[in-house]
Amino acid sequence: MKKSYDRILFKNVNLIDTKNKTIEKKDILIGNGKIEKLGEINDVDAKVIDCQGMYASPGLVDIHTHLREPGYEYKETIDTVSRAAVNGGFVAITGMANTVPAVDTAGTVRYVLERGKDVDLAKIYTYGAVTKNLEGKELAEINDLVKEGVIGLSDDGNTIMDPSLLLRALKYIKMFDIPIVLHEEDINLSEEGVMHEGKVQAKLGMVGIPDLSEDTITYRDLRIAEYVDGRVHITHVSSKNTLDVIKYAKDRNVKVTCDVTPHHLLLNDTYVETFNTNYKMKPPLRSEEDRLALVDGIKTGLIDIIATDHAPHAIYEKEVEFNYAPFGVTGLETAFPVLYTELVKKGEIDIFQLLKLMNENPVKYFKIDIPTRMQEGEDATFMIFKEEDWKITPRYFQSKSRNNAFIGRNVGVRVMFTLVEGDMKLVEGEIKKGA
Amino acid sequence: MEWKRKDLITIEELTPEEINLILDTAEPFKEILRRNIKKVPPLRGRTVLNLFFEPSTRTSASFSIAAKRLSAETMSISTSTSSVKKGETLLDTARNLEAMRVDMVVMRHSCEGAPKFLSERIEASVINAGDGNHEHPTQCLLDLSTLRENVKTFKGLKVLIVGDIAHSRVARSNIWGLTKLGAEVSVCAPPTLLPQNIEQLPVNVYYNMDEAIRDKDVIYLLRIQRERQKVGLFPSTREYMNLFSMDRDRLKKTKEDVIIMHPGPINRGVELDGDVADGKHSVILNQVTNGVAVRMAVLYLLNGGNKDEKII
Repeated sequence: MKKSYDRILFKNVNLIDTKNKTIEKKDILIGNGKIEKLGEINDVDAKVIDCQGMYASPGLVDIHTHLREPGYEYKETIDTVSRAAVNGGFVAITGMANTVPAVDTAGTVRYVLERGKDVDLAKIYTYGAVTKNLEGKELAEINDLVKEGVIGLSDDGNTIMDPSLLLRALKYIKMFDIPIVLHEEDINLSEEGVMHEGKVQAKLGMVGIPDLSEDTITYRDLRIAEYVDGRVHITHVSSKNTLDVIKYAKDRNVKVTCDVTPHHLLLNDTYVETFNTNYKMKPPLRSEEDRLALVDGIKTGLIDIIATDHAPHAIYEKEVEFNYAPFGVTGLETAFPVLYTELVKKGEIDIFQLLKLMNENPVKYFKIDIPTRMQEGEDATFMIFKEEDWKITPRYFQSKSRNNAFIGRNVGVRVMFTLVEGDMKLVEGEIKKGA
Repeated sequence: MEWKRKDLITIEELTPEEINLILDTAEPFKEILRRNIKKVPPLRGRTVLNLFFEPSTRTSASFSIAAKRLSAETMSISTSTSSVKKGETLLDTARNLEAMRVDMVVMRHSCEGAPKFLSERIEASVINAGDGNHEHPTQCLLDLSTLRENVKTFKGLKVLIVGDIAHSRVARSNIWGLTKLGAEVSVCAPPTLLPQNIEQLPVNVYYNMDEAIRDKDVIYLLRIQRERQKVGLFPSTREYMNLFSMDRDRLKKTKEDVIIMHPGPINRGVELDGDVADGKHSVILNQVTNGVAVRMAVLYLLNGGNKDEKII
């Protein structure tokens, strides 16, 4: 990886100390890819950037990103998704295995990771498929995938419907110490559904996706995990009932962690009344009651992680009738601005809790090599943001796609700098020149 | 009162005043339809396009006749949704229509929200002629117009809608329209044909037909689609008929002056007996006649009406 070893001095930054939960004004000196010194620093030979009024914190880590490359380069590429990542303050993102070809062989893992290094913006990690070609039939050659460096296994959008297959997979991976990430959707219950089966759906008449399709199979899978003492992560939890099931399992010491997306935390099914396809995703936006339970879940720590489920689709794919649009929305570039604005500034959670959900816990549960605290000698991988009012418009996006549920929102924070190992990937809100 | 909307997409969004304005505007058109010469000039030089993505005979014909009676140029495009899915997108269709300078588009589509999608992307007025299971506003308006001829007031009027509520745009539009005008709406169906969250709609729910029909002023029967049986929502047509059909015996248990309605096309012997459909309680054919008058009123109002001149 090419590195810029020039020293940089960020002056007058409000440094967020995630360990002591304090915010203190400091200068940060960067050199050799590391944080050389913190404190009041003057008279050094370095490029000086005045950060009066700005905040520095560990960088964001996403454990659920659809890179779309290989196979769907018209939606997104590893290049554009990396740009989107650093634009949103993410220093590491994790690709889902549902590409074409799927990430089910050593070769594809290597391809994705090497492309990430070539692009050299955010750090790229990847999952491997649980089953060959994500078909839910035969296990992929998991040892190969682990050797190449996958951080977990997932068939994501394809729920593993066969319980005995999941049982075997969870048993088998016990020798590798990685989790299986589960998209929980009993397809016999969700069928042709396009939105949450609830109040709004009763009025609109569209085919519903009951919360039942998520919580019943979550229960099944957590019991399987408990039975074989395997490790699972439930991704994009969307309902109160599913949270209750996870709570039950956690109380029984099942090895389970879970995440929630920004859109499930901030939006509910009433948005679907607009028929705007940027509110169409799986799992669907649920009721307000569900949303409030999710917000409660990130406060109490029942929910471990916030993940974006960044799912780019081409404009023409989303500019169609609601029923025909593909599921999914982008999230890397809006996650931090909307969450900071709606949760931190409004006092629902503090910045330390947000960083725990978006940096510390992803790093801890998925063994991602990103610092969780800014201290001397640590890799200079972090972000700097400032409070500023602006409106999210499509022009802001670096992603190739525009299918975002927060377009038009006013937000109160902007990511200014994103650094990975001392290299400024985002400079004053602009992607580094030449990238 | 003046009509302000560009489009007619749902009954849910209309005020009672807007609904009454359409119904009042339809009255003189009913009179015109009884004349020998049935054509009037308000839409002269205007182009109305029927864009049907789902098969339809009566609604499409009714809109065409309504537009022609108002002297508009009309054109109909019907296309199966599947072929459109493979080819041109709805957005491209919309752009092409815009380029042809069409004034009004009457649209039927199997996807909920499709007319709204179109209306947000073209300047022409869009009239929803049925979108999936969502709404069918002109059906509701013609039903209200027919009821007005037969009842003194909507206030406190007890209306029962029977059949596949979950998959019925007619039911949804009528539930909104009737309740907005003060009627009390009930539904009767097997629970599998009711939306999971039916309590969110302003209706009383019955499973027992004999109990439900007893005190109702109006019984509105919905068409039963056989595909629903195939996916297991009820065991057989025979069992459905036993439980929910409006047959001669059940008719005896209703109020004496009950009004029987149906949006058509009827399955004789299924939702109701043939002689109930043809009998003195039935206003089914009046519904059809009023369909033309009500659609004339809608086209007329969306075209801007004519605030100071008379219709002819």
